[in-house]
Amino acid sequence: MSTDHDALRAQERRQFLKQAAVVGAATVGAGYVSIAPATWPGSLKDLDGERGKPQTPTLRLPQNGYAVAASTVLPHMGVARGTRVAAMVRAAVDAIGGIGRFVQRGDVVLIKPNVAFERPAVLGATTHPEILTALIHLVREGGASEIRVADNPIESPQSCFVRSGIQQAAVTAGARVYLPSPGEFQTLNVPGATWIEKWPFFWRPFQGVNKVIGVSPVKDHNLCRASMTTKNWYGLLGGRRNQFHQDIHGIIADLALMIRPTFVLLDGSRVLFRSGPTGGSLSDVKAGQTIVASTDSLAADAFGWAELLERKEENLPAYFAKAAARKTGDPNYKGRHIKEIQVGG
Amino acid sequence: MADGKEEDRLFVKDGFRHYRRKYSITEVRWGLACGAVMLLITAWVMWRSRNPLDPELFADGAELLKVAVVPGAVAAGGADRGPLPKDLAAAGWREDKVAQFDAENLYVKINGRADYFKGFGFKRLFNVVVLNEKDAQVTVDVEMYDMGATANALGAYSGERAPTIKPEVTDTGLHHFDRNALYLARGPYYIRVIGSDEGPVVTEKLRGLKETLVAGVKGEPLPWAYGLFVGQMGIDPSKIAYFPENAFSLSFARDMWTVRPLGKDSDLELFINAQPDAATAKKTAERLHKSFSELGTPGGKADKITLVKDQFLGLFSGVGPVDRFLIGVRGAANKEMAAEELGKLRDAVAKAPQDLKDRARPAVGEKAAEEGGSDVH
Repeated sequence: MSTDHDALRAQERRQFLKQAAVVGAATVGAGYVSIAPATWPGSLKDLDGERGKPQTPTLRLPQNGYAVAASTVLPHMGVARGTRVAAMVRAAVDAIGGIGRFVQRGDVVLIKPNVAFERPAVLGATTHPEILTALIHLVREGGASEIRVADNPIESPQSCFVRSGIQQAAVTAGARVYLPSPGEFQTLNVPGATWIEKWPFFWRPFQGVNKVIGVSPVKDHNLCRASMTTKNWYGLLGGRRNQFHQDIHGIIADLALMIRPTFVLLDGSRVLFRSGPTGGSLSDVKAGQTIVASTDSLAADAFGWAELLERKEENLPAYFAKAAARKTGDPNYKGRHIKEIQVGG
Repeated sequence: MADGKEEDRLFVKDGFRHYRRKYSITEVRWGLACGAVMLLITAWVMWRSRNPLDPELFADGAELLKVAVVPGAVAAGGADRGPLPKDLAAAGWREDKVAQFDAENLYVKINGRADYFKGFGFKRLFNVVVLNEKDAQVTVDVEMYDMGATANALGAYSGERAPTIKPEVTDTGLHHFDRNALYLARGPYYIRVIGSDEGPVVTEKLRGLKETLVAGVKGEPLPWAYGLFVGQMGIDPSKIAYFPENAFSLSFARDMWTVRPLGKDSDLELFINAQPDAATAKKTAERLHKSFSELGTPGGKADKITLVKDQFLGLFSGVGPVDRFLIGVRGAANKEMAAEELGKLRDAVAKAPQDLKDRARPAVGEKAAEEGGSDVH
C-alpha cells in the first residue's frame, strides 16, 4: 500500500514537473516573441502595425532593366538636326547603332511617350505624334512582333491620348495602346529607391515585354525646372504620386533607378521653354529642330538642358547629381562620344 | 403523371437523361415559363451590351478615336459651372462637360503647375472645353481660376505673361492675346483660354470669348498699386508683379508689389507694401534690411535709405518706411540709380491721392504679418 502510494506520488511529481516545464517554456517563449525587439528572430513586435498588414506580392523588373549591352565603339548619343522628323528619328537611332542593335525579331517593345496633359501636341506639353509614328515604324522594321504604347496621364487618360494625337498615331501605325485602370497596377519593388522602393506601377503593358523605349518632349517644369526623358517615367507610377512633388528631385532620381531603358528619344523638334509643364500659348514653344537618341537618359537630358532649353549658363537641376550618384547615367555628355547629323539641306 | 411502370428508361442508359415518357401539363407550363424567362434574360443581356450604362467600360483604342471625331459624342452638361458665363459656346461650337478642381485635387488637372497657382491663393478651377462642331479637333479650353482676391489673380496673370507682351488695361482688369491664347485677370479670377491652334477659326473664337467673359464676369477696380505704378509713375502695367507670400524668398515678406521700371533687361526692381501703421512699417523694413544684409555688405545711402551691396552680384538693395508704407529697391547697378528710382517711388507715394492711399490696406492681418518662420533663401 505504502509502496504503491509512494510510486503514485513519484509519478505525479514527474507529471507535475513535466507539465510545469512545458508551461514554463511556453510562457518564456510567448514572452520572448512578444517582448523581443522587432529585429530579433521570431519577434512578433509590431509597434506601427505594418507587420500585421496583408503582404501584397511585389514585382521586380529585370536585373539590368531593358538595356542592351554597352558598346565601347558606338556613340552613346546621336543628335539629328533638321525639320523632317521621320528622317531625324532614323538618323539619330542609326548614330547609336541602328534599330538592329536594339530590337530583334520577335521582341515585344513598349514605347512610353509623355501624354500627361489634355493638350494638343502643338503646345509642346506632350510627345508629338509625328515622332511616335516614326519610332513605331522604325521598331517595326527592327522585327518587333508587338509594339505597345502606354502612359498613365495626369488628366483623364482617354482625353489625354485623344487630344494629344497619340491615340490616333499609335493605332494608325499599328501599335497597341494601353490605358491605365486600377486593376492594371501592381506593387513594384525598386531596390535602393528612396520614395518608390515599393510603389504601385503600371504593370500590365510590361507583361511579356523585353524592350522599353522612352520618347519625351523637352519641357520647362515649374518644380524640377526641366522635364525630359528621365522625368517621363513618372507616367508609369500609380497611387498618390503627386505627393512626390515635395521632393521632386529625389523622385526623378528614383525613376532613373526604376527603369533602365533600351534607349530614349528626346524630341527637341519643339521645345516648351516656358510655363511648363502644361504650357498653353504657342509663344511658350519654340522650334528646336533636334532629335536625340541615347542609351543614357541623363546624358540626353543634360544635352536638352544646355542645348535645347538653352540653359547652359545655369546649373543642372539637382536630380541630375542625385541620379548620377546612383550610377544610372552620366550627365557629362560633352566628354563622351556623340555623333551629330544634319538631316536634309 | 406517369406511373411507376412507365418510368422504365427508354434510352437507358447513362443515368443522366430524363426517362419519363410523359409530363404533367403543370410541368410543361413551368418549363415553358422558365424558358421564356431565360430568353428574356438573354435578350436583355444582348440589349444592354449594345447600350452600356458606362460606354467607357467597353471602349478600345479604335472606339476612343471615334469619340474624338464624332461631334456630339461627348456628353454636355455636367458639374455646376460656377462663375463661367453660360454662353461660351456660340453658334458653331458646343461645350463639353464642365469640370471643377479645388486645392486638394488641382494636381489631377495640372500636376507640376498646381503649386504655382496655390502660391497665389488658389481656391477653385472651373474648366470647360469648347469644341468646334465642324471639326472636333479644333478646340478652345477655358480655364477659370478663382484666386480669391483681385491681387492674387493679377499676380498669377503677370507670372504667366511673357515679358515681351504688353497687356490691355481697363479699370476693371487686364487681358492680352497671345497667338492661340487669351489671358484675362478679372476680379478674383485669372482666366486662360487656350486654342488648339492659331488658325482663323480659333482666333476669331478667342475674340468672341473675350467679349463674353468681360461681359459675364464682373470685374473689380485694379488694386491700389496699379494706381501708384501706372497712374502716378506712368509705368507700363506689364512690368508689375505681385507676391502674396515669400517675396524675395523671404517667408515673412508677404503682400509685396514689385515693378521693373527699366524693363526686363535691367535687374532693378522697386517694391512697395502697405502696412497697418507706421510702427509696423518701420519694424518690417528693419527686418527686411537685416535679411538683405545677410547676403551683402553695407553699400552707403540712397534717398535716405541704407543700401546693401550684394556680395555675389555687386548689386544694391535697400528698404525703408514711408509713413505706413514700406518702399525699397533691389538689383540696382549702382547707388545713383538706386537713389533716382527710389526718389521717384517716394514722390509717387507722397503725391498719391488720399483715396488711393486709403485703399492701400494690407492683404494679410497684422498678426499674420508678424508671424513667419525663419527666412528661406
